[in-house]
Amino acid sequence: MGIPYTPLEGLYILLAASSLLVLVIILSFYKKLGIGKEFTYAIVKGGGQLVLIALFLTFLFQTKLWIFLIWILLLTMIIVGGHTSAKRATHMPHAFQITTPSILIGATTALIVLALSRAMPLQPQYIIPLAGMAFGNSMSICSLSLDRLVREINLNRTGIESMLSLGIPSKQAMEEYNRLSIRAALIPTIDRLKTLGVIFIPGAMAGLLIAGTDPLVAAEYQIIVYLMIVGGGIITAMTVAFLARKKIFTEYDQLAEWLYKE
Amino acid sequence: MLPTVLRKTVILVPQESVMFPGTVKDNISLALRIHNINNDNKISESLTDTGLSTTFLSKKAQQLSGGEKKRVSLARALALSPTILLLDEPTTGIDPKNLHTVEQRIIRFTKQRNLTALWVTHDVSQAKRVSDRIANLKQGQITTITTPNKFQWEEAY
Repeated sequence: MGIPYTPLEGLYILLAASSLLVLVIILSFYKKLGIGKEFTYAIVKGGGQLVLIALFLTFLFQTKLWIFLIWILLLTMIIVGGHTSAKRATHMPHAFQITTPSILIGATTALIVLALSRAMPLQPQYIIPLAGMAFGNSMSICSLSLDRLVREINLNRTGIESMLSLGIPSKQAMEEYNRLSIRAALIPTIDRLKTLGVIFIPGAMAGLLIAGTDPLVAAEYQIIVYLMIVGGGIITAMTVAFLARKKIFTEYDQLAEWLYKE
Repeated sequence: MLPTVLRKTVILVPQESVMFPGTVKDNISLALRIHNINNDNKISESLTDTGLSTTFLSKKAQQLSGGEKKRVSLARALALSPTILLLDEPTTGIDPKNLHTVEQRIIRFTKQRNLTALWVTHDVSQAKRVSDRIANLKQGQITTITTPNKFQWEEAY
């Protein structure tokens, strides 16, 4: 079972499917949408990245060195994720010091649970996609929670200053905004969880179905994946809230200077 | 000294009075709880000192008028029994009818509680009315420190 064609046949099919891209470019030109260039760039970049990772995975699945190479891949995921997410807090100095450990802690905890519960056999074809999902989702949740936290703190600066001026410690002064940022960061994930299977068939399940897995097993696996995403995400968002305090407040419990540049 | 301890002794009452969620009582008791001070008398006493009756305690703080919020903000500070109060334009937003009353209230409780108040204002006549000593600040520098009687209007400009 699975997709019934070879990589070469796949290339022909890909070219045929690209007719959609041509159609979009023509439409964009005709309607002066101005997205043709960006769309082409995104497709070529994203597609190129996928082909490269596919070639790397083909090599990884065959070599005995996978046990070492996989660490490089995981490390790259964490660093790229941390830096991408850090861009959300433009003025915060060294925001990656918050985002990188938050993504690392959240995603790794989820992956460890998956490994211990045998949902993720310790083989590269399981570890890589699941780690990709765990790190990717932790990164999105990290970005959302950091963005919301900084926004909330900025909007409520006077209120926080009023609390601090009464000797209320920064930890308590930002408690409410921590809660808000964690909740807001999880809204898309929870909404997706609620509509699973109704509006769309999610990635992991779709992949398994295409590969010919029993739909019930595919659904079970999708639930496991979502538990990982939600669990890892909550841990990530909580770590962001915990670590961000050191950046948001000075050692004298004053709001940090960079916030006034936002 | 820890900033949280210092800020219990020297309290800044900001120009903008932001109310915390909940009632007036919640607002005044929040800092008291954090500093482990359990005293309901302090809550009502500090509120009445600012000229608001204890019936306000159960009112939603965020629904109060500008002047009332200002008084609750003062009461929040007074409840902690500070020794120095830093008042950043404490009468901004208070209507002219109540201005005099609020000024008198502040003067009264600072005297009763033996408090030092550093009152920032742009209004020279108010500075003369409420202070024992006036310091004139120009571009971040103190140019004169004198008594209200000796303070010259021209110095302020």
